[in-house]
Amino acid sequence: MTRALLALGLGVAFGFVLSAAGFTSIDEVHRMFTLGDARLFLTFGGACALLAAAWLAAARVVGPLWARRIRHPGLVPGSVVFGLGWAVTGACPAVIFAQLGEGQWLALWSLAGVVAGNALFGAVRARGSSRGRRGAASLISV
Amino acid sequence: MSGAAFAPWWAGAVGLAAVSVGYWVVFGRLLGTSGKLTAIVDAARARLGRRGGGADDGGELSEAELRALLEQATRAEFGADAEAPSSAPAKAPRFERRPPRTLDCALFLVGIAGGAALATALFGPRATHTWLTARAGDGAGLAALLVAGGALVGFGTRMAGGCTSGHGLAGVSRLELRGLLATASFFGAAVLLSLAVGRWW
Repeated sequence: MTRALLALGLGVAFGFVLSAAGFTSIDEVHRMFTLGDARLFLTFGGACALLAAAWLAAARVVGPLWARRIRHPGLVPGSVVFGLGWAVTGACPAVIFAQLGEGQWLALWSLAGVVAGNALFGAVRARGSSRGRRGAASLISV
Repeated sequence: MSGAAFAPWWAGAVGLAAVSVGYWVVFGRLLGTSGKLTAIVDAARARLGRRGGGADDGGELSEAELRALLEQATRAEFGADAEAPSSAPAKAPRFERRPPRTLDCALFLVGIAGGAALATALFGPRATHTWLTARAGDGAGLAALLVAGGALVGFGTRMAGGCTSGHGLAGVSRLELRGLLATASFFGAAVLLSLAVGRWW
């Protein structure tokens, strides 16, 4: 129960930040992708820099925080496909839910596409691994 | 008209970092959104009985989860005071809080919508999508474009095993090649396509 409420609360905080920062505005995201406005790039990069400092500081106190993750063959091609989709929809997965919360109902179409694409890869991978071919199937989700 | 209405970059950066650290404190792992979608989609698929309850889930376990499962099975077999298997890596992670269940994942996504609604109530609706509607209208063409683009997002993030949060924020901040490669790939592809659209359409 506590964990469920914490998950909900963290989601609320995440959605609030995404909306306040403008990641839910397709026009704003497009300005980032056409290199017309660096603000969202700086937001993302600044968060990465802050987090890197936080992890390094935490690791110094409590030791290694996590095991190394494995690179898998789907990493780069999958990311390229995702980037093309992000450029078209102006929405990465978390942003779709934030857009719906804002009442941008066109995001319902994006959501339908994301669910279909996710299920499609799951089905493709299940077929691949049942033939004994792991390939991109051995990926580790985050 | 441009970014002035939204939060300044440093405030957004602090907010995103704070949420990521909070998520790590609670769940002991890095924040990733596309993995939550995968959990929900697979749970739905298993419930529909298509694939015999998601028999291929083994491919999605992280090293830490796998190790925790092995230790759990060892304790069940040999008693609670059994030692950890000697084959366990010497640098095992110190913190192994439980990862979120499917319900937590769903609530997290619902929370995202709630948080964005809260921000809209406070600051007013500021997000716009004129770039899309100017090209695709607001009827069937827009729907088709968004479904197709969304499918690329869903397929690609699952294939890559992460999206802007898991590979981007979490991966880059861990200073791992994996996250940097993924992030360079999706930002690079998005920038190239957006510039091409601006030039030729």
